[in-house]
Amino acid sequence: MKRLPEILLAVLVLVMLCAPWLAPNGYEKQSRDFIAVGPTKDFLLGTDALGRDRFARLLFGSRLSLLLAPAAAAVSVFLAAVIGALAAFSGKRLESAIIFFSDVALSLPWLFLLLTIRGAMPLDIRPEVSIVITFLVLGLLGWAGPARIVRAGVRLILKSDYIFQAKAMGIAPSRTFFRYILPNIKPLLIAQFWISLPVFILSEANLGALGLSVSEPMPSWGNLLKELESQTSALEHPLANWQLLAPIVLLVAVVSLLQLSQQRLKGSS
Amino acid sequence: MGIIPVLSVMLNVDYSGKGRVLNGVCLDLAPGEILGLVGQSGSGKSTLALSILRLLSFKGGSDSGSILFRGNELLGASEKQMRKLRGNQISLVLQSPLASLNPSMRIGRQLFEAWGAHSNENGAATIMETLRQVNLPTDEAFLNRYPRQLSVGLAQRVLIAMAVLHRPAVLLADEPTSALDALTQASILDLFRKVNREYGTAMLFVSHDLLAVASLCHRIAILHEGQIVETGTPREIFETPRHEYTRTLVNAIPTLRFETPERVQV
Repeated sequence: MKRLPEILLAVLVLVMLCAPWLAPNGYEKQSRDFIAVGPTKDFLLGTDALGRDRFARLLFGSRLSLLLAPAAAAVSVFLAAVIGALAAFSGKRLESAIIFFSDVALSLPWLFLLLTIRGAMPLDIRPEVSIVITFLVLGLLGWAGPARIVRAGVRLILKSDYIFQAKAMGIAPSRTFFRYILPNIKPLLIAQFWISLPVFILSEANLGALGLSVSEPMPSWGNLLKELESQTSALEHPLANWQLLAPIVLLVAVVSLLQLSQQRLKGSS
Repeated sequence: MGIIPVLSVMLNVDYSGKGRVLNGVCLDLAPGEILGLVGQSGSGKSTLALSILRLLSFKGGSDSGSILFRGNELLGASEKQMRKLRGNQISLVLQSPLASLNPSMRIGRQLFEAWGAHSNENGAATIMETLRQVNLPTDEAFLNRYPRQLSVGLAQRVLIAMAVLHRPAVLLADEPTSALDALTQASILDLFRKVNREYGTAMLFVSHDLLAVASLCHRIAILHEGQIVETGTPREIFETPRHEYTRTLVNAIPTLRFETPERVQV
């Protein structure tokens, strides 16, 4: 029972990965005879204004967000590891330069930066390209915070007695790095990865709500939330229109589960 | 004395910000000898050990003078040459055993790392033999443990085993028993005696604990204000101390009198 959040997360990811089989009609097929209908046997969550299956769109959208948030987190943690370690190992001048750039990166208004990047691109870019750009940009923007933590962690290790002992035993520098420093920084990197996951999921949702995420017709949690804008009935009668709120419920559930599993990560280390 | 010292030191050490820590410290270590270096905390005892290993820059110090190891000057030696000596000919045992072991590596693996740093041969036989010498178990279950699963005493034995793996000519011990309780301390001191006897390892035993040093060492050097103020056998140091500071140190050792201290009435 202690592992419940992780088990639930794993089940969710598994279900989302099965999207092509669970919703064989796909996320972009329009059923002209069923425009904006409520839940039926064929359309478990009804259809949207273009007659597309809401259930299929939710599955495919979740799959996208659940696969790409880890990818973005991996990009940012990898960058953080390289930059943070470089800062810790390098001389004073390079280190202060890196700290300066991470300060700048942390103070950037990233929303405006994203607006600019998306604005500079043609509106009709292919959905696949928009996916890569969205999450690459998120990943590239997320390195600064973790990089500082990595730098502090590596510095602490470099000052430790066991690194000193390794030197006094004549262990070669490269071996010291791969056997004595890297394994001891790993828990920190894993923690940073888990912490960034919900941040990136929420960032994508925010971007989507502004229409800056993955482009149509591809669904993502952000895009699905954006549709809620025009669905005022959902907010007036949430119980009658529960199917419209499914994306937001799922989003909150996944982020909460991630936070819950993180708490244990902190507690156990 | 016609014996050629294995290690001969004449050193000045400065720390940026702290000024001169060691000022013309002269020490000779004969082969197979245990020399105790006693001084107050912060008197530069550990600095001497770091300087001999050429690891002083790691802690932000600089030195001048001469360090002769088997007739070779170490002060101008390259990092590559020094790396061949460290842990091989001159090894180090530190004060905090648990912090000195890599927390994410199993004990056995760490012993093999220490072995592999200076040998391409299979070290299993030597490692097992050394473990037996320092009274450690040699079974898989023990070798598969992580440092956090060891007691301080066991960890210190592991470190000593690593330090003598390559049968070094000189062992530098920096306060190796200061973090240990009385019983463990006694057994570790015994272990140093045994290593000295079995392998003929010369030792520089750095400590602030005059009693421990006197029970172990052939000779004692007293370090005070960056200089060696007195050198002698434990008997000489305890019975006929010449320097004022030595007398203060000897007198500061608590003695058992079995007088019940008067209780304060509350």
